[in-house]
Amino acid sequence: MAAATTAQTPGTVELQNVGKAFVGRTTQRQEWAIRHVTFSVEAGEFFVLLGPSGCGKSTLLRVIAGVIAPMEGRIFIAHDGQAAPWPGLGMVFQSIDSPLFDWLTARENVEFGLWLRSLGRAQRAERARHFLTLVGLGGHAHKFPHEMSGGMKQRLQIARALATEPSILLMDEPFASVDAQTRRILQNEVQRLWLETRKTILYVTHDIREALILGQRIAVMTAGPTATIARIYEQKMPYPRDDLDPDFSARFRVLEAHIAGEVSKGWGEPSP
Amino acid sequence: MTLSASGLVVIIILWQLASGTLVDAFILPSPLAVLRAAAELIEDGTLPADVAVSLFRIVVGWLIGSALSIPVGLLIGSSGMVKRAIDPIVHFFRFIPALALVTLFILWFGVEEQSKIALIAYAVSFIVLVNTATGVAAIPRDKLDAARILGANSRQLFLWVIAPAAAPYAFVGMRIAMTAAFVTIIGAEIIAGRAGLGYLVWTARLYFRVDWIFAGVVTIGVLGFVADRVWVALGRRLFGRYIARSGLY
Repeated sequence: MAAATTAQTPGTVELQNVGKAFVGRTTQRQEWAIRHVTFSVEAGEFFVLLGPSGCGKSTLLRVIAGVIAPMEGRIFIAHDGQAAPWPGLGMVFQSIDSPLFDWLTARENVEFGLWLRSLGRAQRAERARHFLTLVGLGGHAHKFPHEMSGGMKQRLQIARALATEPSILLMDEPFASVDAQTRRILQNEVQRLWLETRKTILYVTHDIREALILGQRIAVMTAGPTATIARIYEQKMPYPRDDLDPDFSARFRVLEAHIAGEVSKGWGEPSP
Repeated sequence: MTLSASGLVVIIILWQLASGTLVDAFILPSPLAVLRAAAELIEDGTLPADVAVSLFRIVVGWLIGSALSIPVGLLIGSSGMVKRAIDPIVHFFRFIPALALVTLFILWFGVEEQSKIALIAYAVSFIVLVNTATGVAAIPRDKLDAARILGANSRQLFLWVIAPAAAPYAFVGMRIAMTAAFVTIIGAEIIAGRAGLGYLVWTARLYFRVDWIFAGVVTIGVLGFVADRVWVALGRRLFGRYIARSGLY
């Protein structure tokens, strides 16, 4: 069966009919945040999950990361069989402040995962230096997170996630909280890193332009309350992509119409 | 610095003016009279001895109480099971004031220092425990998720993420608990003491020395002020990276 073979290749992800429900605070009934989610990602692919806010994209990513247990369905990641969270995964969160360790310097943050894996002091320092330089924080290794700007903190998160050399990188709207200029710069950074390392990247966003600039395949999600994948679009334009190209604009309009449809469906629904 | 000092100076000036004029000098000794009384008590050795006794009990009791309750607070915050098991006990004893237990503690621990120190540890522990547990509950989910994804198991998460993240709250808890330590020891020394600042302040009435009372009370305030400053400065020096910018007063 296809699932059994793809699960062995490092960097592949496969979801079959994954669902997760939470008990509603007001209704006390089970409400499905995501349901019947099925897709697969190939090794080295840049896969985007695109959807309006509140459609369960973050929940889905955390289920893949293994910090939320799915209630339905199965997830195949190389290293399947081991307890989740699976090694070989890295994650960058949307929040600028909460994921970082405030009491550690940038260098110590990056070394954390390496220290957990019992790497020697010199090796840790060397790797940390490498990844901090890679994201452009080489001169800021001694700084604490509260001494850094939003963009710097996101780059630090990326360095920290990459340091353990995962085969799959999960990114949950990583640049939603930084200013527009920094966002464009960081998007280019991510693309550069991906082209260099060719890791599998699962990237969640609500930004259509971002999805089209970065992704190879774009899974458009339905709006909440119960989200699933509406369609998967292929984005085969060569890199680097020009967002002023007419082909790009045409794809943008298609996706925009689709998303707008989903969002208005979401707004049209009466609350339970 | 001048702003902080000027408030105090104004109060002292008003106090000096009021004593003997608006209010009888017997019941409101002037600042100068209080200073003279303090000098008298320092000369005959009473004040230094009482300060040493009370301070020793406070510091030791406060340290022991904190050392015992911080781990418990961390566990309560991290484990739902531990929380459910221990919560009723904590929130029951939390409301029993240490002073109500003075006699019991003397019966259990003897009339010497142990009972006083145990009493202070008791009073201190609940404050530190609740603050520490709150600190754990306040840790953003993202931080714990990030650590788990980086590969931390439960033990590593507890020691290297939960404990440092909750540190600012434990620190503030200890700061607040210092007040309880002072309150408890003064009260205990009034009720059942034979030495200490509480004993001094209480027995001064037998000599009709209101100025001694004032000297004792002011000493307690100064001591508390200094203790708090020392703790905050020490905290910044030793645990700076854990409490910097933690948003706590």
